[in-house]
Amino acid sequence: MAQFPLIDQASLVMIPGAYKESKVYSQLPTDGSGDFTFSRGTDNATRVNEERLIEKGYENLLLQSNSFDTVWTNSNTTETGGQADKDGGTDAWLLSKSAANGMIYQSITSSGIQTLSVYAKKGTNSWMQIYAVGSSNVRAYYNLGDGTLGAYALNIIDRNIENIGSGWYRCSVTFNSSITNVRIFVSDGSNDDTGTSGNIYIQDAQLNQGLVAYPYLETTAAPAYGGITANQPRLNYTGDCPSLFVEESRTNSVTQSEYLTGQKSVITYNNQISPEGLENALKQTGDGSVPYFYIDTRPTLPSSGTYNVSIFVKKGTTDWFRIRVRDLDTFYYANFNITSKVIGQHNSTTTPQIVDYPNDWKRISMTFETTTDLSAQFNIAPMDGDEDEVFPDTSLEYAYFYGLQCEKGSYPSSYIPTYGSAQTRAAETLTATKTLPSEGTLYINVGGTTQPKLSVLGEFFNASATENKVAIAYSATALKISHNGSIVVDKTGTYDVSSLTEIDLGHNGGTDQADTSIGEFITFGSFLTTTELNALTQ
Amino acid sequence: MSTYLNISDKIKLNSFTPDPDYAALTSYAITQGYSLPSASQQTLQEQLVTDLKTAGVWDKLDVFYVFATDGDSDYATLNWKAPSSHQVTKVNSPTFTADIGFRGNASSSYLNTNYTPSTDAINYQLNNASIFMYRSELATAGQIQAYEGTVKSGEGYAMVSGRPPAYGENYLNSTAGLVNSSTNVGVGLQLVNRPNSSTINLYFNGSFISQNTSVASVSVPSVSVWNFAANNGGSGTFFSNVGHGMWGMGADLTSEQSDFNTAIQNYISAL
Repeated sequence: MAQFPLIDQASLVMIPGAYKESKVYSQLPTDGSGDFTFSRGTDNATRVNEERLIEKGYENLLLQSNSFDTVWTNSNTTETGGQADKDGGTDAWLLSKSAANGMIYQSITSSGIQTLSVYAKKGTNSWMQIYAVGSSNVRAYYNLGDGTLGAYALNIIDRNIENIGSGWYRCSVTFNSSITNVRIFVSDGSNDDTGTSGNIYIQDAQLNQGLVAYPYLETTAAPAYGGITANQPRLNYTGDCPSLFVEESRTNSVTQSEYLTGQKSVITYNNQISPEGLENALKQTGDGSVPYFYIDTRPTLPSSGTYNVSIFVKKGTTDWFRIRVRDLDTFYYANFNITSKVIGQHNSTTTPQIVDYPNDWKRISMTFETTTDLSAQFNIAPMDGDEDEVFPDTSLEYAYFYGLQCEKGSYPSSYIPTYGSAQTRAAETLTATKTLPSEGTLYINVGGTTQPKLSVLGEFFNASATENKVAIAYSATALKISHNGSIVVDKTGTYDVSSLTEIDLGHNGGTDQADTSIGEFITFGSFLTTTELNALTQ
Repeated sequence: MSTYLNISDKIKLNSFTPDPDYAALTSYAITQGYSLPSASQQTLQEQLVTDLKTAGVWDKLDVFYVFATDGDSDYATLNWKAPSSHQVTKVNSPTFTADIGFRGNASSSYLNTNYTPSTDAINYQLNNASIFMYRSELATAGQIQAYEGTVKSGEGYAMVSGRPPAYGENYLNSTAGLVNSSTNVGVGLQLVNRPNSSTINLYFNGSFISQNTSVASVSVPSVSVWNFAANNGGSGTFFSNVGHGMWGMGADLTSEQSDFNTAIQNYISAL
């Protein structure tokens, strides 16, 4: 944790840490008058959390998720609550059937990549079927006796049975379908629901977007939301200290950011622990038909301009990867060695980047321009070397992928997951109403920026790509600025410093959001000395 | 641009990426040891470049000089389109005044742009051309016509004047001119365009003044373009003490002239 000299002289201190929905707390003043109001209308934002893992928003779209006699409809079953549950309590339900195909169901409309899950334990029967009725009927069987998957499954991407102890399993099925109804059957075997009696125990059903079952959220009369929700400030832990995202609105035009498809390859979903810390990254292996293979996605871009494309990659057998954008006005590409973190050959305008993530994941990105052709084709290919995408035997080569994003802008913003349609993360604001004196000092740490210059009151100085600590001493007649330990501006002049009543952090009245997350912000009621300013920014 | 801090729109901390062409200009000036404009004026100048690009003007220019600056007089001589090319030569010490520009002495001093249309032109063409100046000070002495540019015998002239109709005309690759109006002889932006082989039009401060549709193009000048006098094959004529805040030449700007004028006026009015 950083040290903050002169903090006993400060009048307002906001070191990112404490927050709640729509609020970021300042440590000083203690009466709440220096607290910041935060806004972001959408819940599809992500952050890097304390464990350095990507954290999303998620949901349970089912209603009455553990009240199987409410909203749920039965068909040849009875539901009895108050049963011994997976947590040592009595919140489980006994689901008993009285005829063949006995089941309960809930009508619900949902589409895209989804995972339906329920905790279950064998009763007199050892089998359960999870069924989703929709554009493609989804079916999967689970053996609650030995914790294995049934042989029969229909229209699924993946399914899983996780032993959580005491005879309980979390059973889940992942699919891509527009559904209208979910069902839980008391089954008699794999693809066998013919028995006329029998029971199983069930608890905590959930339907969430994504390739895996997220932590359970209890619902009653409305869906429930967890993780990063609307108007929740996002503390970002990519650096040594937490900082706040205050990002501009961005749209991920890739409609399936995790359920990626490829060419000349075999893809296995949910094969690898992703930057989320969940097993929802895919493995792509060459199919051996040709000496190359690649991820292939073709989004439609909303308008012309500068775009950034990014994807999380992890080494399988190759160190090199290429991002290539085709079928636009110009052909763009960049090569990345994710082991040595060397940028290989690339178009001069693509500004490629490699950013570290835990568990050997890297986020690679590049920019490109489009003017008239808005039908992009993105290829992300494992490579045998810089400019060498040909392998002697592709069936031996593989790589891992997660989180493809294409957004309008010159740099990659935080990850926006998509599950079937483009998603827009709303712009964020962080504002406090607080009167500052006409002579004082402002200190802010804004992390690194890809832009080369910083400016204050018409004066400008070089920015750092890694960290920018800036202390601004101001009065009606003088301006002195320290940047990363040195005075970079020392001017006299006439400055309008009257009526300083509103503090926007990371934005300019709701626009021009910051391209890096915001660290600590401190104000002082005096024009600090050169020594003091430099001490703040060292 | 990104904003990290905004205190009541009074104190802001921003990051930004300088316009590459303006950055090239200031970088070149630094390598030459010239004094750059103040930080606030650099912001204005960068905005001018951005505005000219947005207006579709920038790419149509061959040379563009901004004499009205609080940088030093050497910085004021740079060609913004290509800082290491066609730098103005100050001959016989024209007067330089910060934020106003250069002014002739009505007898011997002039600016040689070292831009010769016949050999240097990229956008300036026989039947698609423009020449403009921001006239910051009126001619009060010297040759009454106060022509500037080129006037070599046997070829088309590139020559403009800010003098009243009785004396002042504008030539563009021609030996016949478009006569001034009484409304375009003050301080301001004078823009002369040749959109085709027979027409010259004239705009002043964004307003259409007149055009002549019977001014045949003859040839592109083969001598360098001067300010405060006209280059007659290496010798000067029509010396005056007119003063300029800007000068430029390029392709026809008839379609862009309104936005062009706005960009120029925004810069001048902010000085």
